[in-house]
Amino acid sequence: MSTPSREGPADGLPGEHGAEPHGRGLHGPERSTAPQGAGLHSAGLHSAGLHSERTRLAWVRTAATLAGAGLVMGGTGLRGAENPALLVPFALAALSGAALLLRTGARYRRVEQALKEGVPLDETTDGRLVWAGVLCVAAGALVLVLTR
Amino acid sequence: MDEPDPRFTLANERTFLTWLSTSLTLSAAGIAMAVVPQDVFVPWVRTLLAVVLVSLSLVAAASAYPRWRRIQRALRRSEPLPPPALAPVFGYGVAAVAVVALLLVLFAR
Repeated sequence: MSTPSREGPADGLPGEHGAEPHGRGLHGPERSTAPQGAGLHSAGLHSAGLHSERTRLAWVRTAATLAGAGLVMGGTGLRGAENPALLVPFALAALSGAALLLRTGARYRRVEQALKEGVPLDETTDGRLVWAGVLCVAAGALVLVLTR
Repeated sequence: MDEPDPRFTLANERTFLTWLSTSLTLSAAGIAMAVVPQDVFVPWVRTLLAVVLVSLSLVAAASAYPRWRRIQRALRRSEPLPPPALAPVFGYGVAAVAVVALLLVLFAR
């Protein structure tokens, strides 16, 4: 359980056709190691392009949920709220979700570029922003539940 | 230190986002529980269940980022991944809240 499952095909990760060497760009002719006619496990599904697209969609989903949660929970808190300061964390969360939504396109292009050039994919700015937004929602929800 | 396969890095990022989505869902569930009409639940029980859900949400959110970084470090060093130690807490916690809520709804009728 506690070891990386680098041998299994789960989640579209490298499996029976062998793992790619570490640190290599995955766009280009060296990407496919599958024989022709290998069905679903052939080159297309093992490309990092699909992984980066799925990751982009995950960012869009999370950012949209964060922005929506900030707005809806802020609206819920606004009804009957005695202290408008309760709305601040939800407003911050909605803003961070909106900012992330605006950044997903640029982020995707940076990831694609990094994959092409084989440079490390390690950017934490958006990660910290979304983390802060979700922490704001959770903290605001706790205060709202306790003071309601 | 070698860079891990980009696909593992991206999978790790998606797992981080999934933890955050779980946290948002738990926050929403907690607030929904807090606004349930008073004739369905006794107020203190309603608040207790809401606090449990929102506390789980806080734990999920707080642990997501450090876990993401830890896994990335482990991937770079080709070390074993840290186990998802808190996952059972969320499973059992949400299940307990659901069972209590169901019993209260059934007995309130």
